[in-house]
Amino acid sequence: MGSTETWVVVPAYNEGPVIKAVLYQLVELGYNVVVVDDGSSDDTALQAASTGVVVLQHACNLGQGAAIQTGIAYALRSPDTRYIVTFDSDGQHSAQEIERLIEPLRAGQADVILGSRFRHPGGVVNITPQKRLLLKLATLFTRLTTGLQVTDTHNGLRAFSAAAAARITIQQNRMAHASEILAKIAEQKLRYAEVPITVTYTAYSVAKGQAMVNSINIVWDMMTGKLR
Amino acid sequence: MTFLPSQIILILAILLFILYVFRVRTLLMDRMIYMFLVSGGIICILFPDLSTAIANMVGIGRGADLIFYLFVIFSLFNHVGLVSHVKRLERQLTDLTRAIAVGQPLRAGPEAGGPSDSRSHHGSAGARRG
Repeated sequence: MGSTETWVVVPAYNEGPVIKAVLYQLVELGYNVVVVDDGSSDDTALQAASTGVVVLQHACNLGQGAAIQTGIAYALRSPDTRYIVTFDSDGQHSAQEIERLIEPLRAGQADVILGSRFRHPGGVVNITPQKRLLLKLATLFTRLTTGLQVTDTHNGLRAFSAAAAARITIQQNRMAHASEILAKIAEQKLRYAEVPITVTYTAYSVAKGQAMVNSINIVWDMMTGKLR
Repeated sequence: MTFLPSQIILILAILLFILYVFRVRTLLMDRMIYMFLVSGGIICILFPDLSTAIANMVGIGRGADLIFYLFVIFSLFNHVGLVSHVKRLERQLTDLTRAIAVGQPLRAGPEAGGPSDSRSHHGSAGARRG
């Protein structure tokens, strides 16, 4: 496990309190990690650098989509890169599950693997009923507009083959990037599959997470995305 | 329901506007349209009865109403141009920020400036803090 062929991209914004612990999970499993500090006002970047991983910094806050794209652009500079994983910096994801996403890519079964917390019971720990409902509605909307049969549309744990990552090129800087990735998978007819993963909502991550009304911003960004 | 010529013209204008915005726009055409509309405004000020005459031709009661409708379209048009410009600036800002981020890592892989195996915790000078 862990060689120059896999890069784990960790976008981070003001995760100073938890990022070291999150990164150590990845480092201990031997993954190559690139953290993209999206203009944090705290010591996120220094905390990350102290674990020995690659740390890039945005001079101004652009949004999670932009941070992920920066990490992907970095990883793609190396010709050895074959798989790129996106992983949240707030502790909601489990590093142990990354291998589950890469296996099907390695076996050539798909171009993109999407983590889903709703494919199996127990995939989500401590989710509020409102959030669950909102995510279900978002899933329904995505199925109708893209035709993709997915069960979790807003999950930060994904894996791409390098070729797929190069073709997707995220242009939505803020939270609409998740919808954009799915739209591009559908448009470019990339082979995709979902894999069950666990998302743990802690008091910390819930306090920091998106407010549900941010879904309005996401829809707006998607609709105005075509205006150049 | 019978349509007034003015309604047809306005709806056509809006549709053309949308078509233009999403398909055909160029900066030059934007500016030509802008100048045309401004000229029209100046002419209406110089010849106040002109707007009333044109309004009556298309079935609108007052010249002031016609000018109002045209102003709404002009406003929308102006707005779209500005939003488009802002988006372009955002794209440039993103590209610039990304170039700086990738070109000047806080902590690079062992070969400075290039992605490589960063598992090595030893021997890498720089921002390493334990």
